[in-house]
Amino acid sequence: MTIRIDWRTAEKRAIRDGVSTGLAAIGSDKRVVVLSGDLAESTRINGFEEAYPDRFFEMGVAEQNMMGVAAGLASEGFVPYVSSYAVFSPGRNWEQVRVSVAISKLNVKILGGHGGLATGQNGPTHQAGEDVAIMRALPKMVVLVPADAEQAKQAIIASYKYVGPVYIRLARPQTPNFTKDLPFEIGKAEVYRPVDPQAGKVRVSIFAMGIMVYTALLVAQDLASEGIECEVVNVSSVKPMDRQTIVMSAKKTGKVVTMEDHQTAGGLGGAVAEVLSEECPTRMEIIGIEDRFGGSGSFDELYRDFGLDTDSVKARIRKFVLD
Amino acid sequence: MVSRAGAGHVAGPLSASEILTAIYFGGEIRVDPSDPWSEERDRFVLSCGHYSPLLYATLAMRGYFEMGELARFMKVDGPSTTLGIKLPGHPEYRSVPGVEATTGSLGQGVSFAVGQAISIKLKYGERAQKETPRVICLMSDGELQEGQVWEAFNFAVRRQLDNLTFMIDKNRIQIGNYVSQVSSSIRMEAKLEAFGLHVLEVEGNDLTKVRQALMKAREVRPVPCVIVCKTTAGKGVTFMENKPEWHDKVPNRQEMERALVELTKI
Repeated sequence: MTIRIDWRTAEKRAIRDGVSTGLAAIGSDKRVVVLSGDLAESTRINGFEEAYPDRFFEMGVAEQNMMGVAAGLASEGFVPYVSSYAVFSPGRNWEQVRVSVAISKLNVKILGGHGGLATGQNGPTHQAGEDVAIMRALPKMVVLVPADAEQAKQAIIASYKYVGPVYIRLARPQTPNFTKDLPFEIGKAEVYRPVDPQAGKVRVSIFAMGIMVYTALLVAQDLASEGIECEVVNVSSVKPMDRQTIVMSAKKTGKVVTMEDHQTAGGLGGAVAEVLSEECPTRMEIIGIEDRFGGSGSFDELYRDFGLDTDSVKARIRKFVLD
Repeated sequence: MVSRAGAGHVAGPLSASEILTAIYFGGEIRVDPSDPWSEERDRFVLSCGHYSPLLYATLAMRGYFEMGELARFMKVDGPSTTLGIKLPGHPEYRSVPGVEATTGSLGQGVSFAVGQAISIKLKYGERAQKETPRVICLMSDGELQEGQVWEAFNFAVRRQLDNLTFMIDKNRIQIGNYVSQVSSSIRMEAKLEAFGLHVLEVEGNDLTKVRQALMKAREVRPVPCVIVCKTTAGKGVTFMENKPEWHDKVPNRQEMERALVELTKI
């Protein structure tokens, strides 16, 4: 599938805004409840609060209790959406997720806001760079990283239809909302820009998650003019991972780049490497946060400093494929 | 059970035997072992999950499953390596009928019980308390060192979850010491009151008194009640009583025989 809309001119929206449209889409079901860690406005769950005040619980700044209460609600047949910043939930309350939710396989949905360096000025205390790693290590936990606001909405709807624990990683800044009308499915990776096996001499697969998917599309377009053909794959379902699509793409191109606004240890790059090393060993370039904490800068400044901006990524890929 | 499995805890289960007996055999909990997950049931959450031998034995006695099953404590049933364990070292959500929550990581059962209590309020709305299910949650005194417990109390009081009764087994020991040596010197009951809970104190090894406290707790409005049960760790076995080392020590054959002789005399 190729992206049909003109994604370069897509209007900007924050991924977190998809939370409010997603919850609006499922809110009429009386089993849906939302638990807030005192960040209702910032995490975009305040719309649900206004629409369904009886099923909205302000839990205060108490994330451990919040997750345990969600487990109790799920055991009674409710479908709780637990919302805070990812550093706090599932960061601070990871062990409550593990014991009260995951071991019990309870139907709790965890919305982790402010994922990655994209969080910006609040600095490393508020920038979740490890959340995907800690969540995908939990048995049977589904881990979704939407690429834009539209996918955030789709992820919420998909998590509602799925029975079992789900983690959805969100992000703060305004980024292009470009996936309209594109499919979204738990366990599926989507090829947004396929490589024509006939075109170009140099081919590479780019597997990206979250905000970096859009960067991957920009990079692919620019590199194509230099004779480097990039197959861009949105791995929004980090777990379960679409092994088939990953392996097929790697076989086709023979070289793999992963891109994530997350620590390279244990994140998307690690997850892809686990699949490929078993099924199709392929040389990889893992682009992400490399064993550092973030900093208190703007989204753009931080991305430049950490090599996640379009120019830095292009340079990395050029070096990787042409070496 | 603990002796046969070669692992587990004894002092806590012995201190809380009267508490579990009062709950399950004192007419205070409305449950039907033949319909263990009925919507109408009262819920009991054992937050101090290391008391699992006591919970399993009580559920078996109450008819949730065969007494013979107790021999399977901590044993893998059948070929499955995970789901086959019906009576794991620490309770797991619905591994057998009657086990409401995964506990053993202290503090977590308390929030889980709060989640159940608020669910019942959501489902039944303003219906009279007498007709709606009740939630009882037992925790240990050492468990109060977990901050999560106080988060849960704070929320339960704010939401006026008066369909919820907390119980604390105040047996005064924890794994490596006496609770008094590890916690601050402020009285536990004063802290509980300061959090807005309605506190009842009771002799926890006196079956009748625990039962009466449970009846009284049912009438408390609008905040949840907490029953502080003053107990003796290792109750009934003289060489175990009040000794932190018996928190998680497994009795050898000789010790077990001595303990059983003492316990059967009670």
